[in-house]
Amino acid sequence: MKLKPLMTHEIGSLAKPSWRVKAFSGTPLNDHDIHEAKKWGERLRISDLDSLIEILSKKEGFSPADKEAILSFASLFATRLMESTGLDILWDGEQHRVEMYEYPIRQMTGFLFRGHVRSFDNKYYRKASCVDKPGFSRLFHVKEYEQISSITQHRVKIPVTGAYTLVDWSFDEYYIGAISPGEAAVRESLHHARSCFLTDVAKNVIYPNLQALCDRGAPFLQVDEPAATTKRGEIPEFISSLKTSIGDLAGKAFFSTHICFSDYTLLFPQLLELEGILDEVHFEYANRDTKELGVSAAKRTSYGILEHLRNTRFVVGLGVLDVHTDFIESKELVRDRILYACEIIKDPYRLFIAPDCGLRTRSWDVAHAKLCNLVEGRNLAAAALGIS
Amino acid sequence: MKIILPGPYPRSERQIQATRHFDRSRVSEDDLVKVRFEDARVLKELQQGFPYLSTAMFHWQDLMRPLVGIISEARVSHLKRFFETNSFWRVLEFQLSSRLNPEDLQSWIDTYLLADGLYTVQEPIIINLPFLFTFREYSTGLHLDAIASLLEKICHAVSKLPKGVLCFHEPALGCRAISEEDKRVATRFVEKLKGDLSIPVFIQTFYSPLEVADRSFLYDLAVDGIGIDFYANTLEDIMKHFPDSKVLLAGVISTHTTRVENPEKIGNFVEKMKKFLPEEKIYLSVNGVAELIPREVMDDKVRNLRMVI
Repeated sequence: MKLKPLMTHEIGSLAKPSWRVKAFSGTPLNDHDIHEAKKWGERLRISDLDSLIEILSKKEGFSPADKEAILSFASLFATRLMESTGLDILWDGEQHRVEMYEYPIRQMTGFLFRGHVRSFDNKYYRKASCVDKPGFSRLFHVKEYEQISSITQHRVKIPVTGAYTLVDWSFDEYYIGAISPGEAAVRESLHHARSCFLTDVAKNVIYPNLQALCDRGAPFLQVDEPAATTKRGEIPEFISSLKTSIGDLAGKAFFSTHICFSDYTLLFPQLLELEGILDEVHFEYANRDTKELGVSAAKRTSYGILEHLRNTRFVVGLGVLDVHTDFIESKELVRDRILYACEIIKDPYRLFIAPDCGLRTRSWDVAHAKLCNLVEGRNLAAAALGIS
Repeated sequence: MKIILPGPYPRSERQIQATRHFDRSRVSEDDLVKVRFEDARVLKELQQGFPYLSTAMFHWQDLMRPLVGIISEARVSHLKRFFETNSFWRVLEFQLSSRLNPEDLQSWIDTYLLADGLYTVQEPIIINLPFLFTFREYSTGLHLDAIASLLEKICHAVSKLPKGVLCFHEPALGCRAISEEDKRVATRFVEKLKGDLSIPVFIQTFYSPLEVADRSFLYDLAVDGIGIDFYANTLEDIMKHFPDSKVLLAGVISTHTTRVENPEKIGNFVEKMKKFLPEEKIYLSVNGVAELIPREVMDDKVRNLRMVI
């Protein structure tokens, strides 16, 4: 696969347009929703926009065929948005998915949703319990991949929620059995249950789905593991689950892992066991960085973890956009973040440039502006380095 | 045998929905209050016969946030993972000059401790607060002595409930390295508090195994009750030197699984426990933050426990 220095990519999610959300939630659309569809459709030069507007003009009571069409259009819009920013590698902003946990769990067997639990503030997520050995009835990323790769000439990168995150974000009713509180080996029993749970998800669910994507020629596969460092005593289990998930597929596609908002130091040195298996390790950095220009440690306060990655063989996925704020990073700020990273990593072919995480909490206007500046910042950095 | 439910209790699906609608201005505050009140009332019924009552803490986003309402020069800041869970608290930023602000205290107590008026100060309610190390973990700007001083004043202000119990939450114990000096600060803090307050003081630990040094520190604290997570600790380790003058809040309701506890296993646990402590000193409890289990499941777990006892 021909790569270029400082390749740019997104991470996964993009906000869903209101017309896509309401069509599926059963909330009637209003004129503003349709106006937004028209506005972005024209801006992104969506072909057959009129047929979308015709469907949306019903405002409610969408048939299954209507919903299918709306979903396809949402995916098309998001893909074209990503293309318009100049990114090298892209996805459709996960328009087909509810969100990164619920979507795969819904496709899997052996899980039942039990209700909502709090994440933070008044934000809740639907949490499932494993009630039987995890499996799946049909591959759950292939159709999505085939649809998206058919509508773009760009290289696509598919985010796949990793086994460790799926397990950590789920309850376990199956493996845990009826463990007695206070029993002599209570911790060991719980640990064993969790390890079995993790191995089964990695081997029987994630691996086959990754394999199916590889078989269909998917070039870039990103295993999302935001939960990776949640439990500091389980780093070996996390590493092992990635090894099991990728297995003998290493080298058949470009594999990356995305981890965010974590204490990355906990991953070392065990992360090095994934050299030769994982190609790219992407972390979030911009969230904790200063907004000041400069190529010094004093300005680039959150990029120190790069020292741990310096002498590895990984491509470093560099988060240069803070996804939790509407602040639009200037191209100069992006440039300086990249140049600082280059001073540490040295080889620009070992740096991929991306936002910190998915952009679903930002409006499309903000996401688009940020991503455009990411690409322009990348180009400024490339020019400063004397590379194209 | 008693049951106690310290800490935040999960909201019902109906309340979660109502909160979401309120945040998006789809329902009024009155509508939200009605749903929240009813939710708390159902929980109150579930706790009939319990020695101390959880007020559910539905107004609390976490154990720290509402404190900005009664502390001057305090502001809410960034998200930080709540120990090794998939939930997040917001860090509170204080200044050295941050002080308890008594002007807003009564309305704060009415809102945050008495569940929209469902409870009165005469009822045996649980007042939940973070202990020193957890407070430090989720704040900036204050060293431990200053935290102790501030918390002491908060405790005095909110503990004028003659039949209540003050319950501190301390998941940092067993999870973080606590220096001997920090332990001394904590020890002095509790001693002073116990000297001043007339209500019992409990401290709830959870999620982590407690090593010998942690247990020793915990058992020597001048608290009236100690909460232990029995899915992170063995009965043998904990009870060997557990002080028989103190109440044990035995964390046997697991907040890690939606599987309802096996009544026989809980019963066996209780029988083993009775060899170490008289029954009146054993309170069955949760092993962590109840709020991290969906409401329906949590209610089932509590009902199940009621049947065991």
